[in-house]
Amino acid sequence: MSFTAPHVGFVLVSYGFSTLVLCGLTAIVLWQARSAANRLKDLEARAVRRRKPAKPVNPA
Amino acid sequence: MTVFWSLVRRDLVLTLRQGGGAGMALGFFLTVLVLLPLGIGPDLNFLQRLAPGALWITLLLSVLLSTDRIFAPDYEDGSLELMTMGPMPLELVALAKSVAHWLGTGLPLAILAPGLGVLLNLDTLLFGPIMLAMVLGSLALSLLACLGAAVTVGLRRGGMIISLLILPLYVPVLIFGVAATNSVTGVPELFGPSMLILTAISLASLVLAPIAAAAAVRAHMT
Amino acid sequence: MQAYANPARFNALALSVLPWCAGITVLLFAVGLYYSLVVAPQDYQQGETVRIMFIHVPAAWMALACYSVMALASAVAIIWRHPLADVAAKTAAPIGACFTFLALFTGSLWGKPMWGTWWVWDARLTSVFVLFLLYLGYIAIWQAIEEPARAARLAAIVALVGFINVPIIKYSVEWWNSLHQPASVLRADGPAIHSSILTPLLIMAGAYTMLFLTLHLIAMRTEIMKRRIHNMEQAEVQG
Repeated sequence: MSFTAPHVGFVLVSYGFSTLVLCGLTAIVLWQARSAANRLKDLEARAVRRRKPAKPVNPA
Repeated sequence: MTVFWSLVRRDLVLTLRQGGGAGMALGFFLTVLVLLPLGIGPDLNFLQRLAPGALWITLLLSVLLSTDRIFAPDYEDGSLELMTMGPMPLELVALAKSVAHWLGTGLPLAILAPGLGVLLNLDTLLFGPIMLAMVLGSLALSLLACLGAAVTVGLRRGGMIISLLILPLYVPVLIFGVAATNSVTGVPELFGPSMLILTAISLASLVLAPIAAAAAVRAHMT
Repeated sequence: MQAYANPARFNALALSVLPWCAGITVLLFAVGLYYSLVVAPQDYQQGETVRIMFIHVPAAWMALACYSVMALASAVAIIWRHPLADVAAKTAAPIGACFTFLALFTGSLWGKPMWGTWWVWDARLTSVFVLFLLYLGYIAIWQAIEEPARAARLAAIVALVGFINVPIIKYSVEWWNSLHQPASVLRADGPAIHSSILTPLLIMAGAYTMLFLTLHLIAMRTEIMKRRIHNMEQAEVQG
């Protein structure tokens, strides 16, 4: 690719912008996955803690 | 079938009594037609070239304007729920409501709009064709509008979403409607095919839109 | 197919497949970018701008492919009431909308040097634009309805109605375009595509597809987790 050809700016901008959008999309998807996983872990830990003290009460 | 027509009549009477329907839509239509020359200038030749497209787009918007009231009153007072349990299939209910909307809004606009075309210096040759095309096309517009209303019934920002959902679906009607209208002064051979395709779109919507609308209403009711 | 309906099983499968998908995506992008920026020659007519095609055309393909995936998943959701199909349809939409936007943006950047203006009402660009609007409507439905089950049904109806209309809109826009201007100067399937152009195009198309697959799998897993979070939070509030 020659950088002196006419209209080369358009090529660079379209590649740059596409990279930006696709990387941004990937980042958002990954970030949402991470935060959902963390939240789930949090909730599960809390649910286990709440269940534990209840055990001795069981009439077993 | 009597149930069907009594539902059509009921809806028609209700819209007319509430002052919605044709009167309001016509007022909107008129307002846009006044704003257009103010926005783009009073050059009569330019307006004449613009007139068919402008009239069609105004028709789409006016039909859309009254859309969110197709199902909303019945949803609010619970009669829609009764209709889902009634003897008539929900598809026919949706069809009846579309027909009522067409008779109350689409058809009067389609008949009156060409007359208002004088404001845009519409070519006199086009008055007949545009009316015919609009009568045919507005049926599809009402049917699709009914589908949009069924999907968004009961939503807080339903009106906004309807336009986003339905306007893209209006593209074929707009294209072939304007083509049929313009063909009279442009390429006369195009008039027949465009009208046929417009009819085909209306007939296809007549079959498919009520089915989808009924499915949407059922989804809301469960 | 039925075996993977179970979200837990889907999760396990997705976890085992994901590293491969991600790896192949990176590999394909590396090779594809090398081919499209370095190996592919200048076009005798378009010069360097032909390179925009390698990211524009795959984006346009993916715009349509994502919508098809969405519609297919919606059909499965309506017919078999698969919860996983809802998830698949919902998560495909934002990714597809991104690809559609990129197709429009790069198309505009391609048009400026070729046609002299940023935007030409070319048949392809116009129908991609309408497709973008269909995506927005679909996403709006998901956002407007709070109850997930109801939102899923209605969104599925919207997706299917849109899918039926896509070919009609495309056909009518093409017809409209032929009415108003002579055939466009530039076509992606122009006279005889040379292999030096076809190779990077196909590799980039593969890269885009794999990127979609990877992101879609991750987003589907996230959505399943979100639903579990929602359920657990409700249980916590009630219990």
